[in-house]
Amino acid sequence: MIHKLNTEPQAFAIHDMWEEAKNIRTFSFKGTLNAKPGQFCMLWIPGVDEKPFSIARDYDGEIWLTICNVGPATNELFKMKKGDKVGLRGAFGHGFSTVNQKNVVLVGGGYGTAPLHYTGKKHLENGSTVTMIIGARSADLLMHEKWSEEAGFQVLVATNDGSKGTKGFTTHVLADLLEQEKIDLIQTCGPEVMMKAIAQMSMEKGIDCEVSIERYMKCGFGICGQCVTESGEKMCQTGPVVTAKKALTYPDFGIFHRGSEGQKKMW
Amino acid sequence: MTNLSIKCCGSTFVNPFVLASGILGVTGKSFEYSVEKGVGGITTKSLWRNPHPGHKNPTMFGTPEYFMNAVGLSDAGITKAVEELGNYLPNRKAPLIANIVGGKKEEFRDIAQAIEEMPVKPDMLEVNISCPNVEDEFGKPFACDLVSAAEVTAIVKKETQIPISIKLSPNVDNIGQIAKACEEAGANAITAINTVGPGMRWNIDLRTPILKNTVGGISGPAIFPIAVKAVYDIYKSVDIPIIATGGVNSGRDALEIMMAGGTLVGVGTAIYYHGDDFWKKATQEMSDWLTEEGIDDVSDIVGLFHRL
Repeated sequence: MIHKLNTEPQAFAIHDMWEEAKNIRTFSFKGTLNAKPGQFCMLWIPGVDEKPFSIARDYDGEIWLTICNVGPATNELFKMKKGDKVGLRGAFGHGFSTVNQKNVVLVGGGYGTAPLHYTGKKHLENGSTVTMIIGARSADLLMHEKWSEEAGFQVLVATNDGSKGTKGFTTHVLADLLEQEKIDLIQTCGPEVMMKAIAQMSMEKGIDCEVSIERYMKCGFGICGQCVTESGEKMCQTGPVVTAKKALTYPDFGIFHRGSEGQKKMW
Repeated sequence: MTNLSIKCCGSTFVNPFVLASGILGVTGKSFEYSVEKGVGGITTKSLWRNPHPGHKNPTMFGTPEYFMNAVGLSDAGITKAVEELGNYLPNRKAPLIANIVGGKKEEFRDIAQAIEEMPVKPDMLEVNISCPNVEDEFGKPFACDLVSAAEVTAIVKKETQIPISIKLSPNVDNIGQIAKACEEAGANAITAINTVGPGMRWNIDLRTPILKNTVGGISGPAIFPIAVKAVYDIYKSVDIPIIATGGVNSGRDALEIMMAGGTLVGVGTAIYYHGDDFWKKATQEMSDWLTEEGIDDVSDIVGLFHRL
């Protein structure tokens, strides 16, 4: 077990920021966390709170975090300006595997799409073909679509209301794709109910699959025990990315998670 | 083959290591996980009578020398805790110590009552009167005052048949006397020490205290000498067993603090430095040393420094 023994947050100035979609913004920082795709970091808004976020990019001297404004902490973050400083620590956790696979499909649901571009980029570098399915409730909530097309992924879109791409869910698009192509690896991040459906589809077809499981986190590095699944495993270390096979053994996968005091909450 | 199993307050632990309160102990399944990893016993995080939100983040960070935390004892309350413990206790493979906490003395009584009514009870209660974040009306943890410490001990003892251990603070100049007062009030064991401090650290670039609570308790290797001294002093003062806790970071550290007077060894922050493999590594190190020294039973070393 290798730990970075210093987990004091380090200061980073917001280098740039832009809107990705409605209520979703990317913040960029100069530097690196040496993150692998699918890992996460803790972002500290000084004096307010600190929360875990997946890493949208960590290469060529830039860190990007694509963040949805969902609560009091992100609300304060969204008020910050270029040059304002935040604290970052990480990268933490176990990410997506990016060893060579012929035909990789990435499935992102809503802001769960955040870590997938970086994952796909590594796959391309390793010689894989990458298809990315991005889903959202409506067109204005789609993120990383253009960026991913420019990177050389085949991008397919699904919206619940049909305002762009296929009307319906990412799982419908994936099911069609599975009929047409031989797929070697599926990697997904998004609502847990969606990921569970994808995990089950992949198991039925005998295709390798990885899912990214989010649980309430305090420390991010394996001490507080807040992020355990009902298997007792810590999602900040064993996860967030685990195989579909493993996830399907967790009694809580796709069913419930726990809040800040450990209380059960249904998905 | 050296015997590493040891008895404390009527329960047998397969090795002297117990998971200290506040680390990883959130759900029944997480207790089982640590037992699989080789720990001899489990202490729950601090259980409150009512749901308790705890502090916002950052709640903890570590350096190579020490670790600081101010989690604020977040908990879903005793009703939820009884449910979680109820899942774990009937088939437990290691003893469970339930750690309880209160802001007022009556809260300790109510929690002890709720636990006493459980069909399968924890093996011990650890009474946390020493968290730096919980203070009585005079602004000090109960453990910093001899009379208050004895009063809380007597209140809990009156409600339960389960052996109780009182968790003491190192931030006093008379820990031996406080332990003695607890023993006289009915304590069956003493847990020492809780975190040192509180201390304070700032991020100079952000001009902000690192912990949201501004101050927090200090644990980790830096406090080990303070823990050894406290355990040594308590052992001289009382006849009840000590759950020796504070900065233990290896099998050799565990042996040292047992020789100072510990029957069990509480470990928390070492998980930060060594991961979940700590239990197996430290147990092996302890076993190897004892074998080399020709000591057949780990119980024989408890308090050894006092018999030289």
